[in-house]
Amino acid sequence: MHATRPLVQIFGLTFDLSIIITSTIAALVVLVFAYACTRHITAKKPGKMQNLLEWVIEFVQNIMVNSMGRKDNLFILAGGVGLILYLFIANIMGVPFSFIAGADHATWWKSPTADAHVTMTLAIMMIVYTHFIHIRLHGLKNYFLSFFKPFKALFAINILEQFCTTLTLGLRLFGNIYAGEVMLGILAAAAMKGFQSGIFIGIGSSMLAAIPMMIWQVFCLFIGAIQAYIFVTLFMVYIGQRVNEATT
Amino acid sequence: MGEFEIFGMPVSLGTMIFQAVIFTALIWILKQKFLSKLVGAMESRRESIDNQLNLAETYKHEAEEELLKQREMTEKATQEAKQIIAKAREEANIIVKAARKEAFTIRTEAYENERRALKGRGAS
Repeated sequence: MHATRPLVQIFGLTFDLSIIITSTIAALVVLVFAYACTRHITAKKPGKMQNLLEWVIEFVQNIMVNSMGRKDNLFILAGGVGLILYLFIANIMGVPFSFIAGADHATWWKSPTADAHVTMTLAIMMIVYTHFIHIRLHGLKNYFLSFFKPFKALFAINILEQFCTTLTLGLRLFGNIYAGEVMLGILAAAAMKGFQSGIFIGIGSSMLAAIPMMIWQVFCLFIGAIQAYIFVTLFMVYIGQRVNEATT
Repeated sequence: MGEFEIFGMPVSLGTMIFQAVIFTALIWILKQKFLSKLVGAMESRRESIDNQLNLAETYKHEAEEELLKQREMTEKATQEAKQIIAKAREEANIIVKAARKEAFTIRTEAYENERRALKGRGAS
């Protein structure tokens, strides 16, 4: 069983259709969730749904306060809330099932974050945003000088650090989610292989695979939540480093 | 298949561009449509709770002052009532004594009258 990607080429650019479908669905789910939570918005006693989104907002605000000492920036707050919801939904999308179809075994449904393209794009966006915020807060000169701190000799290491943070930020998320999906795929393939050798062997192997599968799915949910939290926390920490640069 | 390769891994640039666009759109819509309103509501709730607590504090102080005043007034009223009752009891005693005396006189007078009448009837 070897899964491929459903790729198409438009305007000379390659698009992975499964990622486009799943990430669009994840974004739409986040928007629908936010809409459902803010439908009856009130400053008095909030309803259940509004309470849920307010809990998420306060959770992200706590991360902001811990890592950069302030929480009044609405754009960063929106970025954090959007990231944590989007990543959590994207991480758990591949847990209940996967959808493989076509003669070339193309994977149409999986977690979009189980693909390095998605996570690396998000990581690059986050790091570019931290650089942008440094230039906006402290000016271009301070930005270039910051690569020579604390000594001029560390210039190469500072450059390397930026690439490393981007790479680890993206690949940590990708690796965790991808490994979870590979494990689920192996368990599902074990049950399928059993059915190929006979109906009774199939039922037996399915029953054997069912309990580890359930345990692993619960673990995948946990990993999905933890990784979303880690990604947002690191995003805030990197911004915090840039924001508090001048004071140190 | 992909635009270019990094260490032998094909990278499809279109997927990355699409991802960047959709994530930016998500954050933008989330900020403009939903979060700004909700955060505003949370702020105004925090302020109104603060106001209400301050108001409750002032009311509590006022109520305590009122309570002290009321207690003083009640004490004064109780004392006055006690004085009035004592006075009234004294007066009542005096009145009862006077009445008793008067009744005694009236009774004695009536007795005397009766005797005199009996004597008169016996004589005739």
